Amino acid sequence: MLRYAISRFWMLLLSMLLFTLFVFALMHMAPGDPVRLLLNDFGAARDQSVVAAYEQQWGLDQSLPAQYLLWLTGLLQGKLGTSYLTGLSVTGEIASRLAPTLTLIASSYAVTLLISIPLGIGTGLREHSRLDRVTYALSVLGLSIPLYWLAIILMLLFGVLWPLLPIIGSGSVRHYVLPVLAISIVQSFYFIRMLRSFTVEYKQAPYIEAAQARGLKSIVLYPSYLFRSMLVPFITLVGSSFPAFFGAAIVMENIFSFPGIGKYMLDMINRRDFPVIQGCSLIVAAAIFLLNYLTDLCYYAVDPRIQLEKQRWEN
Amino acid sequence: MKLRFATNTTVMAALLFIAALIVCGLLGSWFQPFDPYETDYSAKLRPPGAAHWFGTDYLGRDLFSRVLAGIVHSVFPVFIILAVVSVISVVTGMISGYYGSRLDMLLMSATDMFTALPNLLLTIVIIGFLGVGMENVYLAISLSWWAKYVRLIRGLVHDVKKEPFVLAARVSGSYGLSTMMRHILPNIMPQVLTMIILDVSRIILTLSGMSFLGIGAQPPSPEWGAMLLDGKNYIQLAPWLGFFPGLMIFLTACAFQICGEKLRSRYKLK
Amino acid sequence: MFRLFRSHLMLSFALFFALTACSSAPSAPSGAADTASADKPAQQEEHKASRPIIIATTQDAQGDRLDAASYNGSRHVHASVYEALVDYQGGGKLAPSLAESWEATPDGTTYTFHLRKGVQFSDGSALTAGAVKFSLERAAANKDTAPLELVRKLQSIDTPDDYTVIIHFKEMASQILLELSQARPLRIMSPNAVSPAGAVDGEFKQAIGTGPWKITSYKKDVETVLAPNEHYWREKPSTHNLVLKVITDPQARVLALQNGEADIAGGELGNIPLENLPLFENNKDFIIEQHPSTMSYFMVINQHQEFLADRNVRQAINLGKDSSVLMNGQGAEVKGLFQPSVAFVTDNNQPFYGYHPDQAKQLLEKSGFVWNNNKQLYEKNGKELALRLVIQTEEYPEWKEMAEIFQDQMKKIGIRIDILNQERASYYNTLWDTKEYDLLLYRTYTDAQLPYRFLSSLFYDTKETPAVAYQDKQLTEYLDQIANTISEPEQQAIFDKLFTRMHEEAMTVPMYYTRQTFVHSSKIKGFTFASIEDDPVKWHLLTAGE
Repeated sequence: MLRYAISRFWMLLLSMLLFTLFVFALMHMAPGDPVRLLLNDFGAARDQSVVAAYEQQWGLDQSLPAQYLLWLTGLLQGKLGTSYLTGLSVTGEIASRLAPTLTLIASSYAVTLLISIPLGIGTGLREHSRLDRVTYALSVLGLSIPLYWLAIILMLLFGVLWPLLPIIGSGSVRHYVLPVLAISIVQSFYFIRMLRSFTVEYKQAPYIEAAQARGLKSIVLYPSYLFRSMLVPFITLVGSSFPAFFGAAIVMENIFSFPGIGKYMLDMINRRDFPVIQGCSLIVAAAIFLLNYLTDLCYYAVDPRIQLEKQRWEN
Repeated sequence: MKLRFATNTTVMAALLFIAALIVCGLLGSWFQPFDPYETDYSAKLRPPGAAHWFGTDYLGRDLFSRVLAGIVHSVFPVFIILAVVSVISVVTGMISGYYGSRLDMLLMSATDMFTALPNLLLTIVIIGFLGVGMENVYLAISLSWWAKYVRLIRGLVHDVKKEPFVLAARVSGSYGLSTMMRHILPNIMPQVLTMIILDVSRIILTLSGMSFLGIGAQPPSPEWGAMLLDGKNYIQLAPWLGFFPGLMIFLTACAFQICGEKLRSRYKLK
Repeated sequence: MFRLFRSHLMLSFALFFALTACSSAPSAPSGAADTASADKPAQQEEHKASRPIIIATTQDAQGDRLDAASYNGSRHVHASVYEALVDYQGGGKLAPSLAESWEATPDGTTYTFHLRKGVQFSDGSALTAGAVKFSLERAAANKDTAPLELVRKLQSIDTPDDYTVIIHFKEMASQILLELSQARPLRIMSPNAVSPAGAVDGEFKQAIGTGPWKITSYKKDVETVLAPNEHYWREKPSTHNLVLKVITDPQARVLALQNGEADIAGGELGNIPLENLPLFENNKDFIIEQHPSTMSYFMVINQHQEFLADRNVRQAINLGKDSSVLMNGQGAEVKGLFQPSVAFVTDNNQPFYGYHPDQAKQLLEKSGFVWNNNKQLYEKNGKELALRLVIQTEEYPEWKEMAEIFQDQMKKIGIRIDILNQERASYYNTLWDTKEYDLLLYRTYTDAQLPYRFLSSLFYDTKETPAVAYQDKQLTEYLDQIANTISEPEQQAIFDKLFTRMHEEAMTVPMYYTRQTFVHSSKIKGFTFASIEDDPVKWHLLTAGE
């Protein structure tokens, strides 16, 4: 286990490194010049001397490998550089925006799991029941509504027509209700469908049927056999859906004017603020990589057989 | 086991709907009461009624005709993208899950990287380099979608490969590829289908979400997702602008789901 | 391992309950405290006078970096906090502001400003010639300002006494007064705004100006709060605070107006999608305010494209487009490139084409285009008359609808238009670098930057830097001539010729004259437009009743 964890961790670092290189290359390949975009925002005329001064200040006059190495050495010292647009440190810019995004994602995860675990497993166990049909229809409906529309409709319903909740900003807990609800609705439908599908598959596994035949009561059977066997796909589902939550958070931050990192990152991609793009994608990637790393470790934890099998299958 | 869910009538209805979509898509202009591109400023934003079944949009174009004309731009690309995405993700996921070890680590790292890449950036670069064109749209979407399935597929393969019948196949001398194709693929297929078909509507929506990047549907293309996006500013004043394209996306997604469910149960019975 | 699963479940339960418990708080009186700052202030605040007025803005105002001598921060906040030496009044007219009067030598190399006496900065210190010198020198030291004429040609700034500022230039400088009137970066800031005080290269500390407002608090990406400057000299300072709330999404701004989370939205700083105006029309809770603007939307023409190199085609496009149907006909009647409110534009010096589709077709046929009845298009040597129109919808969402209408109009005169909606940065890249467009929808600048500054940055053509928009020797010559005189009648005569030249060559396709549109709650009284778009509203005259 430990050996696997360590070697997998090295791999993780290596792929992070590759990832930053990848993002760096993409960034510089994208059409659009940060200096000129900045000057355009100023409403200042484009002047060669100003452009040159900025290129020098931002190191854009150096060769691409030199720029990347410079950034990398900064990273090793724990520095993510300074934003082109504000001249402030990227670390600071990100840190000040991390909390609202994390809260939004974490609460959406919680609400999603809370809705989808009982409904997903329930409908899976009682296939074709009325509940199953209703959830089924709702979930297709839910997945066909763009998040943007859902959010606007929620705002209209609970902010304007029936003014229960605030719709702008992230000042208080109440501000989180609508965005969390919007994300959770869409994600839950996805989770419910997947969980239902897992349940349907696993409940027919031979050992479950055998246990059933032995007359095991469902109260014992389901937790100890069914849910356990579903754990691996479940963990994968939870771990691998982070990007979807993050993507949804970006949309929500934009609509509800959350001062979060997703909206910031999107803005800066549009403005080609290279250090910020690098910094933000590094943070997001780190989260995704780590989650997946933990998911992989969970496989071992859940099912130690894998470790033994490794030798058997490797040859 | 009875499969009341995907009863024959619902499946037939779904199939009929898809067939109707294909027919309308191919022979579109025959069924359209109006020219979907013809503007009429005097008939702007008419609510649904006898003359215009789905109402008219902000340029006075007949929404019903536009929805029909949109089939080609909305539904057909989904087939292509689904096919590309499922092939890439199933192959990567299976290899990764089956062989495990180093190969697994490599593939998973690559997958993680693609998952983590900001889609917007990736798409901007693809379009910047390859220019505008439908095939580039498919490429851009496929590149940003395949990775999200790989982990789940790999997880499923992990589970299935421990099943006695797979072990038995191994012992009896069946090699990697044939084991994968014969024993593993059929067993993970139901979940993979559920997963991918769930995303039909998402793909239609993503297609339109990219139109502002200069790819995908460009005005005046009657692509459903784009029409839905156009409708957002009229959400209070002319909700039908978003409602009907949205309804079509919903019905299409439903039809695919029902057929997918049927396929799934077929697999299960094997 | 099931324990892991269970604890996970427990955790989610705990989280959920925390969330629901808090979200139900508002109904309980004790829970109101944490929401006081953000929710409907109208209900929370009991003193009428101190009710803040909330303005929806698209972008963060960068209130902590609002250095008058820089381009940091939103223009309208610059204009609220700092004042200029002279005010732009529209139509090329200037009015006294911090400078009571001024004069320039006929050769345009020396400008003398006589400052108003008794003006105080928001920190109570007096406005002196030293502060003006400090502000302008600080701006000149900022590398971003290098293209400004004041900075390029500046020789020295003298302050013979506390209320006189003399600026010497190396050569004739004709645009100085206009540049000084802009919202940034040549407005006047107190030397105490930086540390050490008065140091031209000092570190910016806090925004201290003579304008009606001062910044009291700033939350990045959330809001900037402006408080009245008690020392404001021109009119009585406001009795309300101003909250500039960031509301990114246009539709969210509409909803925020409707539910009272914002009192005012509109203009360039927080635009309302015009499709939504009917919601507020004939609605007693809201008032729509409209005011002419100086900005026009127009199409840049790529004269190197084979068809567009032909003047007849360019004229045909102009004759075939009908601006009156754009945006529900809400814009003013489009004549030439510039709105009538722009300086040097008179009633009759800007010729225009008008909507004459038949003439357009005749022109095309004169140029050898042949009607292809199958395609319903004109062709030349077997090549369709098809043009790419590049637009962007991130900054200007209404361009999509405009482009579609234009496309439709061109179809009627046998020209196929392919619309290409590009992401913002790529769009600018197309305009500036790749030039991969035939037509490109763009907008003019505003106010004092029109028409000279705008024309020179888009049409000034040299060997080293070809003009961005349309390259024409004659036009460049005119622009040179204008830069070489400060006599208004002389400039007027050159502009007359210049406008005619632009029209005859059909260098652009004027599309739409924008208007400033604001929507506010009817509880807000005293709404008055200010003279420039960068400072659109006299916020300090607003009052909020209940």
